[in-house]
Amino acid sequence: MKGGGSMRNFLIWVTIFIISIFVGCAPRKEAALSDIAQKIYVAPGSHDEFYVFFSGGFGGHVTVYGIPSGRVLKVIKVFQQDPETGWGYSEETRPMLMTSYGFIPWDDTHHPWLSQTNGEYDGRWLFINANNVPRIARIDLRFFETTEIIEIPNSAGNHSSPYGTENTEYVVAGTRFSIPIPQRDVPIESYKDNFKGTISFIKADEPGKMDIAFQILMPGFNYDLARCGRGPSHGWCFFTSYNSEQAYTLLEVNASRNDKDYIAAINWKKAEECIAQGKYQEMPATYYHNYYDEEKHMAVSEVKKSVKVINPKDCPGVAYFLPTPKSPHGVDVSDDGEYIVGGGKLATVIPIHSFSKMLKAIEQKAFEKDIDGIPVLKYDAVLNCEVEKPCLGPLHTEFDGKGYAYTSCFVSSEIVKYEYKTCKVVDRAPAYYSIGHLLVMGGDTRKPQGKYMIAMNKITKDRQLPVGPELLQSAQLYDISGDKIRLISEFYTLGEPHYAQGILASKIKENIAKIYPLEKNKHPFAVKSEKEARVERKGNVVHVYMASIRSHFTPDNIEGIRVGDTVYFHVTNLEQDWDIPHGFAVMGSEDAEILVMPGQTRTLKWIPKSPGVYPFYCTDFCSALHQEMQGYVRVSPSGSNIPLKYYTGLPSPQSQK
Amino acid sequence: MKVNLISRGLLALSSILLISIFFFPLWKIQLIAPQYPEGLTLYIWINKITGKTDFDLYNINLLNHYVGMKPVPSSIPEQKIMPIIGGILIIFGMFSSIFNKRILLYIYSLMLIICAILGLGDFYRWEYEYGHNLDPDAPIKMDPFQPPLIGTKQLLNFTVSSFPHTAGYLAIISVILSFIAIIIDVKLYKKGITSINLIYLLFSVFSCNVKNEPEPIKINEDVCNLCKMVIMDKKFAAQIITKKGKVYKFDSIECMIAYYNKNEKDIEKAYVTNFLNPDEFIDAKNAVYLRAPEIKSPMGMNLSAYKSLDDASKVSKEGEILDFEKLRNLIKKEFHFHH
Repeated sequence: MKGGGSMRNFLIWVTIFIISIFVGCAPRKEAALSDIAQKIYVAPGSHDEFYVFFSGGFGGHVTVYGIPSGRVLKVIKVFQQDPETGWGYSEETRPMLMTSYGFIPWDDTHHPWLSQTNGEYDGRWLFINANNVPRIARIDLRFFETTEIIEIPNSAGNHSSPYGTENTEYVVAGTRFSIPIPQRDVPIESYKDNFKGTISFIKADEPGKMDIAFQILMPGFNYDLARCGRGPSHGWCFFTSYNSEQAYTLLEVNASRNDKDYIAAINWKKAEECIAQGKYQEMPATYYHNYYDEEKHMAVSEVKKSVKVINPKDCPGVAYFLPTPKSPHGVDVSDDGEYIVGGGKLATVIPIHSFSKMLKAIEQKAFEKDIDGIPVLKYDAVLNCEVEKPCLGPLHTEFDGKGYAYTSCFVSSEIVKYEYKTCKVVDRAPAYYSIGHLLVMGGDTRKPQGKYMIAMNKITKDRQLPVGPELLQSAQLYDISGDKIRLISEFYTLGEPHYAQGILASKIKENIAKIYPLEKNKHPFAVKSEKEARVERKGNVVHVYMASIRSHFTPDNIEGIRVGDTVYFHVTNLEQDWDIPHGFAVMGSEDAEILVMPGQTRTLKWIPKSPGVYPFYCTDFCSALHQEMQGYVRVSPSGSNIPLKYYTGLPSPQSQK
Repeated sequence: MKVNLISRGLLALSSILLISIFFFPLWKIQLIAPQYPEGLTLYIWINKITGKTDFDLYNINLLNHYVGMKPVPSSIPEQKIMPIIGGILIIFGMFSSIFNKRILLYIYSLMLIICAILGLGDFYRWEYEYGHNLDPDAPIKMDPFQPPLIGTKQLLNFTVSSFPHTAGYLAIISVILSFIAIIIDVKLYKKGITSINLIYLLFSVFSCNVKNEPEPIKINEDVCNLCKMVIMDKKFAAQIITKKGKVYKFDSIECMIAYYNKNEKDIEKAYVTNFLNPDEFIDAKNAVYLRAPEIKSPMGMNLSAYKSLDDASKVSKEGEILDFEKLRNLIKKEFHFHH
């Protein structure tokens, strides 16, 4: 009995202890949660502090989010045909997707890059690369629309792009896939002899005037990611490379043999000198430059026929290699412009190079060898320090402006925080799961805002309500204003965002266009008022000059169209009020609908195949009488003599009296 | 007849304020709806109708077509004449002020008020037209309505408010000023006060100079500051004005002098009433005082005041004649007032 009594006492004490844990901890946890909830709460009707632009990956778009709320604000159509808006379907936008390979309806967007002035985001443009058919697009942040696309010749796998310079003098492009340059029919086994890489600098500071300034011919490695210098390192851009083994099959093994690959340091001011001195080759190349004429509301394609190529052998000092362990992925330059962090995805350390040491090593010719005329600097001569055992699979790094760097680690699925001058780790936080890129607000500028960090993850699995095998990608939002990284929210992203950039909303939101002024619309098929609406036949081509305004089309009835005609509906939205788009869809159209913004003109091509009466209607719920916004097209047999006739509204019975 | 300077100044100011009609809107009409939290705004100017943004007028007309209202034009025919009338008014006002004829001031004010009434009447008529002449074929049927001239009204999903704007308010002030000018002119004309002493008077009111003119005594109303008795007889009344400009009235000379003796350092001026002319005040220091048993003063010391020794002798030959200082000493010795 005695033993039983002490047992009973023990159980009572244990029970009290357990209860006290629950009672004692529950309120504290609640307090912590409400504190976190406050950090991400943006009251209905109020605005987020940051715009964040996520690439769409294989979606080909850019998605805009408000942070900290994580609300989706817009999907910007870029390298894609979009039936929702008619982007890439309408006659005005089709030229945007033209390339030397033909009309390309899709691509893989990876890295958004916000334009900068003096190393800070200026809120003018966002650039984004297309990985598959090498291109770079400019998005105008007054409209949040793609306004320019340039194709990159002599390139394949445009991954290390667009990552521009600190006054947006250039955006850059590098070949993830080396290819024969110029392209030609050679055996793949002749890789080492025939395959080359290129690094391209594209003039970017004038809208509508993007142009390949020059390309630098590089050894046949895989050029993976890029960052340009700022402050003291302005004038230089850095590109990671892997596959210095120059493997062309089973790369996961064959390109992972060398302990160190290279970061290529490109001195673009030197390249400019060499161009000025004529030390380049004008190489024939066909590539497209497409730009959107804001006043004509129409894209124009221009075909270019040659490109300036610099061989580093002819322009000494234009390129150097910094040995970097092992198969490095990301390369990121610190906010002060002095440190260059390599994300060696197979390395056990994070190497941090010093820009000033690099300059000194170049001066002292501390070279270990030479590859195709490019000196390889000694690792020890350029290294600042190595972060020892930081994590597994380090990839990308951003900076908070307080002396700390944050590196994403794919394999160990976490973010590690460290002092980049001393390589001392101070904190780490898990990511769910398998993080790729991360971003810190303003994290690639001279003055990062810090405050928030976002992880973009490759694997979502159980983080959300299950929706079948295919899942959206998860993103986590962290508060980094304190000493400790704090996970505060999670949201899901469209396509496969690789990278994103966040800018203070105040830098953009005052400049946003709300409408397109009708008086400035110089579209050749625009109508400025309903009086100008008409239908014109030119042989088998019929142009419908159509006006749309709440809640009718002018004309809304058209007769005299014949099978065999090609009909162009040029729809001008006469509205001048914010957020009153009109849509246009016609039955049997093999293309998409078109959405027409206030003051804009959009054209849908339609080839009717059989006689009948075809309704068309407004697809965007524009007004209380939206359902009344419709019309008919009468299609007669080929060769019919039904005259062309069009109208809107019959005289009312009252006015007839 | 000439107009006093104040009225002339007000007249000039009134016409100068009226210049604002060429630089600011007269009226503002704002439409707020759930979909338009920022509001659609119309400004009515002397010569045109505009929106707050380039497109407000366009958008209001677009919405109005649903209820069958006619489009609001960017100007109405009246607005071709209105600037001319406004200009004439301003020039006329300035000339009136310069030429200084009473009749011109009156004509100006009359013209101003007539124009204001006509303008508002026309505005009301336009609003009536818009609200009552609705297209019977309009998609949304609505009872005819009168949009507000001044005030706020709910029309379907829109809260419509109509109020004067900058130039409207200034024009109202302009009308008021012209009326003040007339009122001042009429009052002064009646009193026969000239411009010069009016200005002097105004200066003394508005400047820091303390006034020291006596106030008339109101019989059966004013109360003696010392003994608290109602002043019944003007002939014996007296008055003190302090350095701060306060006026104290007394029912008798003895009360006044008693107060004077106690508060001498605060006193700016003392007055007594001329016994022979009770509407006239005499500076207490220069008066001649008579103490005569046949003249019963309210507080029993039988004191009265005169302009001269001759006047005093006319009233009584037996009585004792005193000057201000002697009187003060007498009061000190003989007059003891207790509350």
